[in-house]
Amino acid sequence: MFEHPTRRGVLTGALAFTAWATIPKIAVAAGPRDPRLVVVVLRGALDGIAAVAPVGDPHYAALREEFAFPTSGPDVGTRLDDFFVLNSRLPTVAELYGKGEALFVHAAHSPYRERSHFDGQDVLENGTTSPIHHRDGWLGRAIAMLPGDSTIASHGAFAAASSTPLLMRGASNVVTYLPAGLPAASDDTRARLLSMYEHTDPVLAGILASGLELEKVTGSESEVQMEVDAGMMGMEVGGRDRQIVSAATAAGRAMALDDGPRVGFLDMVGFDTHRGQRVIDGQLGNTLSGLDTALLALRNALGDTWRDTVVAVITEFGRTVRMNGSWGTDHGTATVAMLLGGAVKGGRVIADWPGLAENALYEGRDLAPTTDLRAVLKGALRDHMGFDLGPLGTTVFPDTADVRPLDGLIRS
Amino acid sequence: MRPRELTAVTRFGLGPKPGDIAALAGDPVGYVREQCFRPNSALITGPDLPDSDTIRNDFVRLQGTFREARLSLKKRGSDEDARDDFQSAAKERNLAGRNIQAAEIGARYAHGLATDDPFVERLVLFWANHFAVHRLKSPVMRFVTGAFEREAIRPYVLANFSDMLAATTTHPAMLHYLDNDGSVAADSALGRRRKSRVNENLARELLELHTLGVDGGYTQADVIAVAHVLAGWNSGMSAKKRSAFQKTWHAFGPRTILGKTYRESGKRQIKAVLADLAQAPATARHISRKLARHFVGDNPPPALVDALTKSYLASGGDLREVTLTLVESDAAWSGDAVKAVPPYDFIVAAGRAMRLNKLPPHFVMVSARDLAQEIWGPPSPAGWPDDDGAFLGGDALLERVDFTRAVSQRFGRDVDPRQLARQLFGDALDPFVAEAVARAEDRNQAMVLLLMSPAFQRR
Repeated sequence: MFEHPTRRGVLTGALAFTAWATIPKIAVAAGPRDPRLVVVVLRGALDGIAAVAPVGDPHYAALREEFAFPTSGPDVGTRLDDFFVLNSRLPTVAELYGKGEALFVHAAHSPYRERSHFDGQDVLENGTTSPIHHRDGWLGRAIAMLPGDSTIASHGAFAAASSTPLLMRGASNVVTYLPAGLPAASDDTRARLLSMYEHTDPVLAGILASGLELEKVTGSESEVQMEVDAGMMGMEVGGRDRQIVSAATAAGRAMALDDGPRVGFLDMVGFDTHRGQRVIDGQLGNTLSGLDTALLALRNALGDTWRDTVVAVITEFGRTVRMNGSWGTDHGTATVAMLLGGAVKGGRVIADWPGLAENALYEGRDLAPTTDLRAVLKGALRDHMGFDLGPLGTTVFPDTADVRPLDGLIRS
Repeated sequence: MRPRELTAVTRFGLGPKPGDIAALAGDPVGYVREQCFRPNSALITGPDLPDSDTIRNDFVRLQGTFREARLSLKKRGSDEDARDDFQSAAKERNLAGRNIQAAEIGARYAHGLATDDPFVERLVLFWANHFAVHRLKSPVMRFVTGAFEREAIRPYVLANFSDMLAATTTHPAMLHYLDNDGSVAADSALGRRRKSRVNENLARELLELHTLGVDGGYTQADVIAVAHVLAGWNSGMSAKKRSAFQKTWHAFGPRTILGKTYRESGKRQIKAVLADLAQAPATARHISRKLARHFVGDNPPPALVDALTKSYLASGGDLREVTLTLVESDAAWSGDAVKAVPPYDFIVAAGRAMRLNKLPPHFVMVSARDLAQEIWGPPSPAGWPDDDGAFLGGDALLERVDFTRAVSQRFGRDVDPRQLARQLFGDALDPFVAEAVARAEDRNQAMVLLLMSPAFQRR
């Protein structure tokens, strides 16, 4: 057998599939900022009052008993203000908060009021009030509404997932990426496969072409892996966190490029803490720690682009304010949302705090919902990404003209 | 129009073995239908596959030793012997868990390769996903997940749904996975001594995922009532021997669920509740919709879903009747191949095509993980997504290319891909695939192209 010359060059010329490969590199859009938006969906329902604990609420300590946040000792969290404390397993987020690059919205909620994860996540992603809608998602519709040659639409969207997530469905140009570990087949084999698909199955041809283009942007798996290792600077990244950290690194690398995607998606599981949630050393603490590492990797990979970035971290609903008999919590209602990034006017907790008194709880068990998540997302989409308010209240989040966006979330 | 022979071995199978398509020519529907009368082909047995009672006894012993060693290490922190004891107890327990998993995964995969009733195995995979559990949730799950599928799924895929529901709900794996271990009613004997509360997780998923469906008309009060019916049922997978139903954790008394009051006591109460849930029209509809979606596509013809529901209700939940209604429906055989073949099914199909009779369990496990479908490791209790395009993103497809390269390079050396393509697909072989395979630069590349061809990717 003899060596074939690499076909990568041939592929690059022949497969003008995703837009960012074909658009000549031009200077970034006029204006002070070329914005990036990453949405991180935490699946399983994050316990908001364990992540950002309302230690100033007079009822908090009694409700959480031995799992109330420690006020002294090695695990004492970061004081955010005179009311809220951040979980000590989120050191990166704490550092960002100190720099004014992290903001929390507490008692935040989607319009969904039942307690099914799967429906709750569908509502969170589809941007309507009903889980029945699977055709497209709020971010997909937002992108689809832009002119094709605008900076955001033409550069496509990046999703760390095995297929397009509901959140981004509707956008025409979403590439998906999932890190894994097998050695890659040769470029020649890939080119032949693509040619075979073009003759036999155009759907598979399109999917394969998008995968090939994406790899050019993110670099090969081993390159991503090297970056993960380097970016962590010797920090131990546990096996279960590797995938999310690799995904965050790949997303950051792609989105840092001048002609890379402007919009990204990551998701993470492990927040359905019915059992052994505890507060710092249990399932929740470990999962938060993975999230924190992934956010650090994302920031490092974005490099200078971080200053133009907003990362929205959202979850389908919250959890019961009382612990159950298994040191865990069951499905609840309101929770906390985070906005992170250099473009965020952070260092603040925004909360129309409902209180934890018995009669203030939603259905006697949950943190009551007071700030509509869609108001937060609308504020970010308008002030960061430059969307007009009109369509945000009709196309993107239907029938929400009366849900006013939160003002002042973004640095001017 | 797609040849029905191809549909029979892909949509209703796990991919062809060489010669399959030629053998079933003329009666593809009959080929699938007849499999429904061989329910025993779903069963897996073997000397290294113990039942869950044996597994539980082993686990109790290992966990007991582990717990003791940990306690004495805590007491005598700096003691070398205590440390050694602890490490060897942990090692022994974890090794036992790993060995069980390897045996279970190896046996399941080998069965998928060998079976001549692949449709029955597809039913197993469908129902195992309906009653999803996660192998990696805890040390306990590493021990019992395989037994769960062998004991609570496989015997019932062509039997009555109520039997499968009873078997899954009270199996140690499900009780542990959905947190019923340690669900102690506040008003139970133990609950009155120390502060306790029921855990709602299993009750909620039982109603939402396993039976009625999210729109099935139940309320939060029903969830809580079911949680009380379930309180006390536990896996017994702990450091001490413990009965499967802990009376002191259970608050005895009537419970009202979906408007009906159950006055039975303890074990009879859970039986009665599960029996009614299995017969509920909402359950029939939920299951019929999932089944049609799984085999036909995201938008199955409403008439097909109606026919399945009717069959379910008329037969009182007889899954053979429902399955036959599906197989005998024209609608199930028409339409394009729109559903992505999930990674595990694809890995099985690759092995069947290459006439393998086994693969190293570790290779199967890691390959499935790399293709984004950890074996017995779904993203949530709802199981793996089942929409048409699930698992088929651009990057996922490239991972499949890399897998086919590895599997054919390491395990498929004696195969002639051109001949194999003909044996696998006969007249249904796409001429472009035949050409691509024939022109490949080496055998390995030819195998990659063959295994990546559309008939292996969508069904």
